[in-house]
Amino acid sequence: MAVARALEPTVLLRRLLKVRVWLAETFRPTELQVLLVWAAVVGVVGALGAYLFRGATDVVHWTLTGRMGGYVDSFAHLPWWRRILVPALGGALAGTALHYGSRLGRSQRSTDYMEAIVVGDGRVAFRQSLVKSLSALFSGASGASIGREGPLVQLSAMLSSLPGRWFRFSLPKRRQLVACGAAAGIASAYNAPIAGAFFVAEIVLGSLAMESFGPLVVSSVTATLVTRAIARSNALYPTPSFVLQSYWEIGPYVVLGIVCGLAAPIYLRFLRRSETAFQRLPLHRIARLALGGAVVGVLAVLHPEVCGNGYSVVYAILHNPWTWQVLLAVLVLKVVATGATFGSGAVGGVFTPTLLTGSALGYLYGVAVGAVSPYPGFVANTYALVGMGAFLASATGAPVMAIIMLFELTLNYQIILPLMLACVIGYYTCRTFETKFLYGEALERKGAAVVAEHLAGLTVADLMRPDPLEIRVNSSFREIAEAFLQNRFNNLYVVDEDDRFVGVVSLHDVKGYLDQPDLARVLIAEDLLREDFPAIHVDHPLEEALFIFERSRSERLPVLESATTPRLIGSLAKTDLLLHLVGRHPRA
Amino acid sequence: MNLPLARLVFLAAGLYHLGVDPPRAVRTGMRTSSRSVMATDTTERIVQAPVRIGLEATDDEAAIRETAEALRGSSGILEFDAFVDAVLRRQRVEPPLLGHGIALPHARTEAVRDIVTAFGVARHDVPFGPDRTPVRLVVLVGTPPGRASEYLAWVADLVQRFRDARVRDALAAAPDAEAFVRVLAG
Repeated sequence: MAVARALEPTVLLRRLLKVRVWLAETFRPTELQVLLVWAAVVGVVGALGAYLFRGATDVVHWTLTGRMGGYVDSFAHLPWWRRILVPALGGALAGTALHYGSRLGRSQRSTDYMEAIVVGDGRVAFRQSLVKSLSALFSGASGASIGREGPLVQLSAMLSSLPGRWFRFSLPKRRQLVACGAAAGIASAYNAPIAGAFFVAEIVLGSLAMESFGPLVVSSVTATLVTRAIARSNALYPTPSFVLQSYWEIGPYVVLGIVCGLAAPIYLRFLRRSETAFQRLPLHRIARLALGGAVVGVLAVLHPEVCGNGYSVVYAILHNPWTWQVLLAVLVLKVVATGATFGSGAVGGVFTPTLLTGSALGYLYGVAVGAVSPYPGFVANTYALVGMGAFLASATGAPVMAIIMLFELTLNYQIILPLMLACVIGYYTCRTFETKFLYGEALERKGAAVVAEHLAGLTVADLMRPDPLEIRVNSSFREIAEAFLQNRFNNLYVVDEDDRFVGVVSLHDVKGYLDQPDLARVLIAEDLLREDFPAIHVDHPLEEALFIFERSRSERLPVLESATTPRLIGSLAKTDLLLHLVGRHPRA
Repeated sequence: MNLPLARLVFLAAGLYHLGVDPPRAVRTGMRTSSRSVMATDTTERIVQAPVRIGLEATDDEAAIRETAEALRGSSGILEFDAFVDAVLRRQRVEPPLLGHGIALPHARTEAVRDIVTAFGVARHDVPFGPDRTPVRLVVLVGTPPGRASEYLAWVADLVQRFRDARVRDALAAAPDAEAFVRVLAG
């Protein structure tokens, strides 16, 4: 009776048991709720990663140009030959990083976070991500016309895939965490928590189901808070107050939506063309990237506005008056520069260049409207704002994200009416001409058929977590109580001497008696067994598991080796299956 | 402009939660009432359990068999021999000894149709288990599979009653079955 004697003095243990049972009964933390905690962790890590990346970019930029701050500003102060040299050198460095970095990695694992979330195994290659980020660092810092969201999201997605690897999370949970990392990256890059969550939900997951959206919200909010705590705290593009001159003005905004919807396919095709054109060039990767940089540099000699992601230019378009000739020139050169950077294979996104294109388009359109407007004091800047949103909605094929992103970037509520309308109209217009949107292309290449096939072929083994917590038939009541204390499970799986699954001990049955030491002397697991608990075999298709979950109220199922050898080898969580189902239709 | 809307949302959320709460109260109420039913249940079980006073056995297996005899032919038992075998098998895994001279041999077996209980009182120490722990009171319980929580409630209730030293002494000294039941049910 050593067991009983050992239990008696542990008053603390009994109190803890009571608290644990009370907590479990009151809050019932499901795996989904635990995932929220991980999402918050990922948010913090993602924000820190983004902050470090931004800092590193500034340092490299200072090294190359001798100036801190805006890219356009830095380049405007450089002599013409350095305007060409710096981007070319940056391109060469970016190419070198990619070229030699790709020899480092051993794995064939995908570095694309979108792929990792939707079709991959939820792991983002570590070294390759660092190599890509380093390359993006050189491109971005040297003034290449490319957005920083690519490497920022990449980095935080890679960081967020680490806990999934270390703690051997199941596939859907790993994917979900990578999605959270991506949301955190976007939220901290644009100081836009809502858009961060919606970007990933709409563009990557293609779903707003609460199982997947909740964690995204948590991580993007956390990331934003961390970013605001350590860096800036304003809207990225604060705008002067926006007023509808008259309700009739909604008409020109509708037309602006159509204009953006028509322009977006041209923009998308131009980017793709320049990519294939550069690939045809008989040049080494390093030379190709250097050439891309040099093209940007040559354009920068004419207009330094083409340099960098275009943040300061967007800001200027939203605030300052422009003559249409200058802005048209900037627009054309910027698109060419973006094509050259993107086409030469530089790593990064096209988010801010796309914003710039949209805002310049909107401004030019606004100038045209202003020419015929009967209202005095007409400003074209507001059209730039709406055009930015409509063009973003069209080019990304994600109107919800565009509306929210614009609202968050500007924190201007008055803009909502024309913005929503123009975004939706732009999206529908663009869709009639173009089905390959920005960001969608990486996934498109994989092919929807591959996605469906890959998922349909999954069995319990793919989502199973190995080595479940198990107790023996002769485990004492004390051991049972401790197991319930130390874990969040509602059922303990019981195995016999040969590791065969024989049933469960349910927390529901024993919860009222966990603090009674006397029972430890007389009861063992066998006495409390529930044999009718459903189990599933490791080679069963996932539909079977879904069917069992549908009938039982359990959150978790024991996974057995086979019908002939009912050895307990793992467990399958309902949450994993749900998440998996959420990711089933990555894009509508 | 946004503020009134936000207030409205919070108000709606509040109302929604108010609407959700009552069912929980109903559930809690139900749980309380089922507990009181169980209390009368256990007293009933004690009254119905057969009692053997003055066991003659000198070892644990014989004491269990002797106490079990009191249940032979009882309506709760489907196969008497299988039931006793199950108890003895369980005894070999880990003999359930409560201390203070009380043994609680039991088994979860298909051989019983209902939770069955029998008491046996020895006037001398009977050695139980590999440690030869002296036992005076044998509480024999059988339960069909799938009644874990009911069974646990019953065992916990019994254990609770044995906690009082005066009760234990009175039970060991009970002259007959009626006195035994009166003390235990009291």
